[in-house]
Amino acid sequence: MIGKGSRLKNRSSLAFALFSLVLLPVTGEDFAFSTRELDTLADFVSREFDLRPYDVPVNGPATPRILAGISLLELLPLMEYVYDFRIVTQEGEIRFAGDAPADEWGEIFFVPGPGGPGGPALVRGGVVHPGLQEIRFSGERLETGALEIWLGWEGSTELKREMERFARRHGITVSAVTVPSPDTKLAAVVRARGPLPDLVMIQSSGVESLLEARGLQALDYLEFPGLVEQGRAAFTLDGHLWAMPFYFDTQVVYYNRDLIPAISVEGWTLDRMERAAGRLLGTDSHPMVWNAYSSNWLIPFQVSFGKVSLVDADGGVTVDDRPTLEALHYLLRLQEEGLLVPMERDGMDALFIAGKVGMMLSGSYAIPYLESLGVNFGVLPYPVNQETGRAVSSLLDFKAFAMTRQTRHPVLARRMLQHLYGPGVQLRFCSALEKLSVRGDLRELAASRSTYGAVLERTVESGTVIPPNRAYGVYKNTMWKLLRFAFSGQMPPEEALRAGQALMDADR
Amino acid sequence: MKTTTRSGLLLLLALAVAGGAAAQVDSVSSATPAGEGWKVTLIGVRNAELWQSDLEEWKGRSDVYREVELEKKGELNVYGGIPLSAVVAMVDDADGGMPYVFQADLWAAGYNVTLTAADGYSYTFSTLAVSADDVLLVDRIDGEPVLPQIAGSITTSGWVRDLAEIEIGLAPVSLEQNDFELVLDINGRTSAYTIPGMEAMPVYVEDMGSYTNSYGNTFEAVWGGVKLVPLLQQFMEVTPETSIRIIAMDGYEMSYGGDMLLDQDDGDWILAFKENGEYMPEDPGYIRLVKVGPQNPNITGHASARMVKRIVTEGEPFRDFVLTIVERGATEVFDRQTMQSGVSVNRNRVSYYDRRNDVEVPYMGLSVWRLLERLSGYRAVTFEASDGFSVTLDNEELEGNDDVILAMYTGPDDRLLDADEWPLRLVWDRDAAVVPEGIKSVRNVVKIVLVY
Repeated sequence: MIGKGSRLKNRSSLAFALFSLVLLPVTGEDFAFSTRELDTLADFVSREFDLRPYDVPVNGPATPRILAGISLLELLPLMEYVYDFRIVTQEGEIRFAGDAPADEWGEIFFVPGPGGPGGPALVRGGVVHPGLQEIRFSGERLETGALEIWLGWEGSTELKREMERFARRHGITVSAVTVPSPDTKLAAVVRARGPLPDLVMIQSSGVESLLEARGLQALDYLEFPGLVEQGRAAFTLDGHLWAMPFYFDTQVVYYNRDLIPAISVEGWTLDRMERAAGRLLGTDSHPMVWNAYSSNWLIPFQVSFGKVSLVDADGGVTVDDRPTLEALHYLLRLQEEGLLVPMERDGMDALFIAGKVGMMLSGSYAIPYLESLGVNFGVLPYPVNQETGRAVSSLLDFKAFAMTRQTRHPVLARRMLQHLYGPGVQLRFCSALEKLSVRGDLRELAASRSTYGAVLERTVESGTVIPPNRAYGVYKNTMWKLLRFAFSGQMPPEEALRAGQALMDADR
Repeated sequence: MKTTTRSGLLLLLALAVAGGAAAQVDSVSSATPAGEGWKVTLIGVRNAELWQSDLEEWKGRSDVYREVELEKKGELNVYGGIPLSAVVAMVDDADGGMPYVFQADLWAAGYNVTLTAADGYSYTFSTLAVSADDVLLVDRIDGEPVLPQIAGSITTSGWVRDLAEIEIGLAPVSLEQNDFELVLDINGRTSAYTIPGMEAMPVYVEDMGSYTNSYGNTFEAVWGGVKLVPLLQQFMEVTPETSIRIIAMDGYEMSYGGDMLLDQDDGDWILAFKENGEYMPEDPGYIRLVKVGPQNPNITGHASARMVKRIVTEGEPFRDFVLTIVERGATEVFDRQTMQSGVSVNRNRVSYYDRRNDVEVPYMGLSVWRLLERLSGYRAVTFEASDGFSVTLDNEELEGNDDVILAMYTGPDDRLLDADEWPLRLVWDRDAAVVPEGIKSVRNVVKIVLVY
């Protein structure tokens, strides 16, 4: 029977809310929603749950190129699975093929009327279907339940808000908990057979140890349209994707506008950076400061001096090579000439905020913080090494949501992932926190909404992804000590790299 | 009180696994037979594998297989499979022996079961919420074979398709404190040893050793265990003629000659229960036979018996033999241990009719086609005895024919062949569906020549 949705015609707003709160498992049902019902629903979820239409990019000759829509995932009841999905437009009935329409719900958008030129529309895969009259489908509603989600890093407040809106809309209970090192904690709890979350936010460097602990399930069965390749690479190990990339940070050059005149990104080289910062030599301000003790600020220079891949084909990391040695020599020269003062993050931030630093290299995550303090700063991409023609490569630090193997709500957790990956959350979250979206199809739109978006975007193509291999962690920990020896003059650079190599080889 | 569900059906399942799962000779001393078709890995107190060929056997030999009508996506279909209880029984206790017994009390007390598909999708449920007999591991829908999947009285999220793994959340046995006992059966006198007991023995040692499997991979570790020869010498004199039989927890057997065990030039044979300082789990532990010493001795994988449960002296000198297989451009030589390794995982029994004496004689060995299944392109097989007598059989009548075997054992007690048949005898079942044309029983088989 078609038409269960139609029975909602005369119900109150509360009835719409209750529509999603079905607690008992049900078998397949048939649904039909007219555009009037969809309009009413869109209005309802906007008012009751603050789930408002957002910009949805569309393909082809459609005008305008961006429409205001809301996904079926937010609009309609959550579905375990859907089959026989079709729409009726002015042009007739269209049946969409595909095995898993319910998994596409987050990427199918209802554009409320008048929407485009043809009135209410449906956007699927970037294609606009104007003149929408009705949506019909068959399927099984998803049992509601409770999700536990561990969060980390910046933006927990915004994320909790996004999750809560979605959860309330569908009658889900979400416990979103901020955990200092969620990936580390997950590995420990899996081993201890403790209670596990359904979803957990992780960074790429934690993947291998979580796999060893058998804590994650591969997400190969999910489609993430528009996912940037670097994001996929960051969480792909042994040929499987282990988490849904959510956002990423990059590295940039911050400069104090009160100390250094505006700098053009055209012809932006290491040489120009040195000359710009060198203006502060002999003053009470440091020309340049960054955490040179951390390999996270060695890798960009390794790449700019010719290193092709951080992790070797055999899974190890090589540091006793020419590019690394040249990079270290370069950094030591900057230090010797007084241009660079190696300093850990807290001290660097404090001095930059106090106006005592001309330039610092840091992650893009610092932008909202500096803005909130009213610091007069500018942002530049990393410069190009004029000797090699290669850019100093920004380290791209992806954060992702992984699903535990032990989740009891894999489909519900999947729906939450799909919601977080949707354009609505991506655009809101990344804009608010100066993050880069993992969706290639949204990056231009997201960048246009940010003061620094264009600069951040310039770093991506030449950026280096933090790999998911355990070797990266070994490399980072090993070099942390040895770079200190090198910058303190206690160990010649050649010896520091040789010692680092020996230690890393022994730890394989 | 612990209650168990022990049924004849499960016994049949066990027999089916023992008798029908094997598909290839595992010369790496694998105690778990391989199978054919799809495979589901089972992880629990112990680990195991469930193969499509296992399920096919079960279907034929027991009524545990069932068919139920279920609805999904608006369609009613008939799902055929076995209940989850039968599958979980394989790994829900430390007993790797057969028959498998479903630990119903543990299921009722509650633990987690994680179902994982080949594409990574995983679903975990508590046993408290699910009846183990009302959920099926399905291999057919409407009579058509499908990849293994879950269906039945479980939420739709649990209907995992292309099932690759089932993990049950029962803690592995405490390896140091479990009740495992190694049994020594020496000339009828039986002694049993716990792992802590062996670790306290003066013959306990830790040293380097390695073994190399048939793929050429070498596994090296610091092994901890008791020296085998001194342990045996507490009860018997170990001479080069001594023969001992090692029996694994799942029935795998391997014989060793005293000359081999006494060869201590590069190290000592030990019954190892620690690998790199950790007690080994049941598979490949609790006990594995390895050779250790300061020179880091290396042995072939099939000599490194694992899951050792019982050591028995055969009361007779160890006699080795050689079976030569002549292929196109190559010759392979199988020794007794290699053949025994193959027979352990592919044992086939036939009842041979001895026309001269008008009696039926039981033989056990390896199907000819199993022995030769790695090879291809030949049209006939010649079996040669040590006295030169030979018989040539058309390969078309041997291929897949489990009724024609190269026997290594005979009699109801599976004793080695007597001198007039030693070491191997070509025999066939009196009720064989296909009796190859021109077949004659060949005693003292020492050579097989493939005819192209």
